[in-house]
Amino acid sequence: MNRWLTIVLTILLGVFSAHADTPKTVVTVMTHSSFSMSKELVADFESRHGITLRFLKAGDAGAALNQAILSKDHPMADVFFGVDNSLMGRGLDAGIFIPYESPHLSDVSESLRLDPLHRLLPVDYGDVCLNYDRKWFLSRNLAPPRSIDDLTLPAYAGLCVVQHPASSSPGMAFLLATISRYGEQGFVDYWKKLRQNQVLIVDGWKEAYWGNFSASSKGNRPIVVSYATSPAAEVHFSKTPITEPPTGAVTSAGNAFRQIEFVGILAGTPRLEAAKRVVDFFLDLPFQEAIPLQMFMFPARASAKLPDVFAKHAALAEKPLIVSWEAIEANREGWLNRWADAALR
Amino acid sequence: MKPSEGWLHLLWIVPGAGLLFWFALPILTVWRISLQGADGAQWMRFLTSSLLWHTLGQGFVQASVSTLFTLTIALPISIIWLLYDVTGRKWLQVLLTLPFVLPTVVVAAGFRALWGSEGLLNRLLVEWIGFPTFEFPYGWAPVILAHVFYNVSVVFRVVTGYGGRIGADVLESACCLGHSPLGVVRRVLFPMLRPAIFSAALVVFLFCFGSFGVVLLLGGSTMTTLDVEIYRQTVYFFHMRSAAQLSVVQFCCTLLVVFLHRRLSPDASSIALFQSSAGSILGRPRTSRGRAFLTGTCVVYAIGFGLPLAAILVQAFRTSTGWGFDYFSALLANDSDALFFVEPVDAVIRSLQIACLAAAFCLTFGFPAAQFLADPPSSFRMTTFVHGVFLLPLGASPVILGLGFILTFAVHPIDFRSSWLLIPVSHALVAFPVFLQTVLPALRGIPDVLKQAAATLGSSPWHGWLRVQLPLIRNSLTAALILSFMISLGEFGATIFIARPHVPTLPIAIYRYLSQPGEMNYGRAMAMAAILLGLTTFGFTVLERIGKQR
Amino acid sequence: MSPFLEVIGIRKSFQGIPALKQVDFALNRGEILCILGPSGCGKTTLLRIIAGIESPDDGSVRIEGRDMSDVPAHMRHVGMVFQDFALFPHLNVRENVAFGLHGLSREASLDRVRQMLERMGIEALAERRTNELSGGQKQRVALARSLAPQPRLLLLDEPLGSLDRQLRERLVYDTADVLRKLGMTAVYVTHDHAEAFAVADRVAVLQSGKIAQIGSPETVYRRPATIEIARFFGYDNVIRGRILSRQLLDADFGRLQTDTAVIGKPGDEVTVLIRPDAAVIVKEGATDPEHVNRISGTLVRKRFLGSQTHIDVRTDSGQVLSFHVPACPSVSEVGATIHLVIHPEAVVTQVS
Repeated sequence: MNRWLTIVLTILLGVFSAHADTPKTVVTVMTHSSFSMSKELVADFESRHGITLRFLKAGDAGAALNQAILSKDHPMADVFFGVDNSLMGRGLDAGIFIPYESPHLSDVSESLRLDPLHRLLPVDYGDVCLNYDRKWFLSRNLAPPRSIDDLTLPAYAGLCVVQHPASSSPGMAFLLATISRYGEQGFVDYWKKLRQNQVLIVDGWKEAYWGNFSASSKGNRPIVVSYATSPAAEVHFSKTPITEPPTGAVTSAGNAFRQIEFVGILAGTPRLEAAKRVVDFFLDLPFQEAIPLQMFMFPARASAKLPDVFAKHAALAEKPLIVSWEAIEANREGWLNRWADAALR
Repeated sequence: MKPSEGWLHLLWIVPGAGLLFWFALPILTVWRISLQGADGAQWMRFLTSSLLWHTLGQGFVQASVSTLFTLTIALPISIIWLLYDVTGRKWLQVLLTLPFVLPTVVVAAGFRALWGSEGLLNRLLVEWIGFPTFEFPYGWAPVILAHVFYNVSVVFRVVTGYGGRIGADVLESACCLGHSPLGVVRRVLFPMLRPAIFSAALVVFLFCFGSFGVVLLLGGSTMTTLDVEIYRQTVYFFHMRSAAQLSVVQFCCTLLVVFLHRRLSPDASSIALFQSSAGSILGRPRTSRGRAFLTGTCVVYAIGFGLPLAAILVQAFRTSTGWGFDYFSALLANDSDALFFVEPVDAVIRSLQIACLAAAFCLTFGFPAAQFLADPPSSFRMTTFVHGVFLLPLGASPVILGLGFILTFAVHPIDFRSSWLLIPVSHALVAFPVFLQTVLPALRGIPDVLKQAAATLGSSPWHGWLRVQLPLIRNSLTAALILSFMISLGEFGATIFIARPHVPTLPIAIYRYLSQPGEMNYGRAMAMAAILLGLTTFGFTVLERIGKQR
Repeated sequence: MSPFLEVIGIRKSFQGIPALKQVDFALNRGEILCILGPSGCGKTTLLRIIAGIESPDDGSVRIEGRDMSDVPAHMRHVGMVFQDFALFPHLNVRENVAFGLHGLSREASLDRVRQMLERMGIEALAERRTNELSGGQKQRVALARSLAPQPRLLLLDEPLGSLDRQLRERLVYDTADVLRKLGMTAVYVTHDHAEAFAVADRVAVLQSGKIAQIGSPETVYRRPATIEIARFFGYDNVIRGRILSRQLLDADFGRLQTDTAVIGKPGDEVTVLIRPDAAVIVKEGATDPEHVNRISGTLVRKRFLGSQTHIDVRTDSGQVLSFHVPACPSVSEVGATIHLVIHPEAVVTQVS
């Protein structure tokens, strides 16, 4: 027994000593699990402003936002990074964000600034669209899909993998794209046809892209719902230097949904000024210019310079489909239910 | 009244207060916040909603099917193991019991390692015919298979542990009365094992009904259980009210099953979840045909249960260039400058620390609870009720618990929300009932007369406890500690909701690697799964050794 | 001087069912009292109350004049030998015996254990584990263990109950010897009167929660206070009779003489008990002029039991009496008429 006691005591001591450090101003940033940034950039900001950044990853975007809403009386963080336009209604309705008009906003396109009160400030955006495996289609002499209509054709049966819109934000974006394109009634018929055409629905983007997409995994689905920037990522991360991406994106007019990510200051923060500095940091050019290769989204700032690989291979969709966040907030549930009836049940 | 039993109440007040603070308080907070404005009409709507009945119905069918398959597969091998001595008997036991303590993630990883798009079978198919032929069939099949894989060990352990008390003479006398071996099994062994089988079946049903990780990882989007639905309602739809109402229903279901368990098998309280099992009743089979048949059966079981585990090992050691430790050495390399990269070694160390703490918490709260239930003061009338309450964490949704932690421990003196200590606490809650059910039968098994003998020999109750009871349950206690340790090591459901990115546990790290692209990440996931497998196997071997000393 | 142990007005019930209704007795220093009674009469409960393991609903236990109500078992200095010995399975024999030795130096403790083991003749078993012992060995270890701390009072609860007969007969004397040599004050509980008589200075018969009779073994056996006690001691034959004089009774089949004085007036109806082991078969010719203590009848059943034969005899008046007679000389066949003479000592009367 003595030995056990010693072990337990050692551990307990370890626990408490690990928590003995005294911080300066700590700003906690709540974010989703795909958030990524280089250490160097963060360390530079911290040393310049005397602020320590603590990141709290609270699951995927939806889960993180829900936790922020549930704990709004005693906020766990000061800043929230990564609400997108399909979820922003939930956050704004819950009243968890307070307005801040960052000086950097003037450099952000009007089309991205969805909240006129500046409670949520756009940081980056990207278009959700179909990606396809070039080699696969080439080797089978089949034309890659040109629009999302094509997915219902018999030739494309069993080729496509999409994400569950309830559990994945690109999945939701794709559903919104179909709603915008085919209308309130038409989208149900479209999904019924997709289902007949053996579409595969998986829980998340990672599973779809890295688990089933034939170009980037050993899976056997050559079409996947992803971002228009994904081909650039393929080039960037390729182990052998390549000039042409192995995948293509369907970016023709009316086939993509524009996803915009926002940052906001959480109501009730006792460190408002520091929180504002952090938001400015996210909108400042160094951070904005790092976004493409860290998160593979386009920076919100118009004057941010894009890295070469991005400029060359990342695309923006022509005339992306639009659904207002107010409409999304009002209809999300009904749409999801009707989608589930058509695609799953 | 026995003299000086007032202090005995402390025994349940301490764990009771622990449960109240760490378990009831968070859950009640979630309910209080989420169920605001849920009046009678709203409850009626919920109680008649298709959400509830679809979830309950599917959960019920799934759990029934899983239990049925588990029994069908577990009983023959349990009976063979009880009756006959077969070569490799010990190994078979280890292999059949290992899954119970395996983390969900490892099982899911094992199944995917076998059938997934990058799995062993597809790899072989790629080598033979050039391309993979099947994608992982998310849905009923893998979920039920995984449940069977998990729970066969429960049935096996409970039935063989209980059946070990049956003497050969009973069976021999049945043989003398003119029954064939099969008849003996059907008419004598089976009825004698019935309480254990029933008890095991209920436990399996409860596990499958409340399954979270397996269904989430392998079930795809159409499968659901109460736990998974609570997760979805919370995380995907932000329907806190539905989630809270579902969790109320879940508690009722757990209470019902615990009650049924006590009601329908009265001597179930003496059935330990893990007890040592004796040697075979009949020894080696006598005919060579019998031997061949039994050996064959055992080999089939060994392959069935060994394959997913072997797949992990193969995937962990077989790199694209051949066999080697590449993936393991990759665990030591820090090749990322990303902000959230945590070295896998840290995850291993942190996991071990958390598991130690969780086991320590279990000891501090579970042991007094078990002691109290084993020997309540004579004036105490609510032992059964208290026992039921102590088993409640079995039926808690990790999601609701996780949310509860976030909502409850938010005000200054108890603002633990971002503390990693919440992880061992949640693990201890998950392991608490198992700990209790392992220690309790041992404590109850100590004859009162030994304690009285100690008293007449001049030992005070405390002194007698130290010199008689403690040494007598030492092995069970160690076993329970190791079991809690291993449960913590593999816990997934609660951790995924509570863990912060800078303190991932092993299963979370595996989960993260599994959902990242590239051969290297997949290999690392498999290497970590292999480490976890090694750790649990080690813990388990210690457990077995203890079992033998008893 | 007050008695060493006083048990005063003990009552105890379990779930409303009374186990002890009103038990009083006292015991002097150095005395061995046997509590005798059929199983379920509450004797174990009584012992546990004296030990302090159980507490009475009412009444008190006094040891050396001091009320024990508030003294927990471990402070009473009362040793106990349990029915199934209750040896500690995790300790070996030596450790078991040493268990109760508190506050002794290591050497003193070892010494005491050695002494006790020697006294019991089990020195060789010192390092054995308890599950390697036979029943008799376990009994000795249990006795040694309870005696080692030198308790002021020893309680023995059916200490030989789980052993086979032969072993029991041998051990009962050994146990009695040890207790007497040590001058132990003891309460010994058993259901076997032979065992009780062999050990006890006094015997208390406990029946349905009450002490029905207490006294020396001889008195209790010779003059059982109730029919139940008589039956318990094996007085199988219960008949009706009338008092003729102080030592003479009239039964249906003839006259009976008794050694113990009859209580009552001549002409009173009494219950007469005849012990089955006090009859001898006689030939018809050897007649007693007054036909006293003579029974004649038909042999209706006969069971051969080795040294004895159990016979049932139907008297002329139709009563069936049972006797144990020596197997030698051999008994006549069933159906034959036989004659018996009963020793006056085996005839006891009871006021009805």
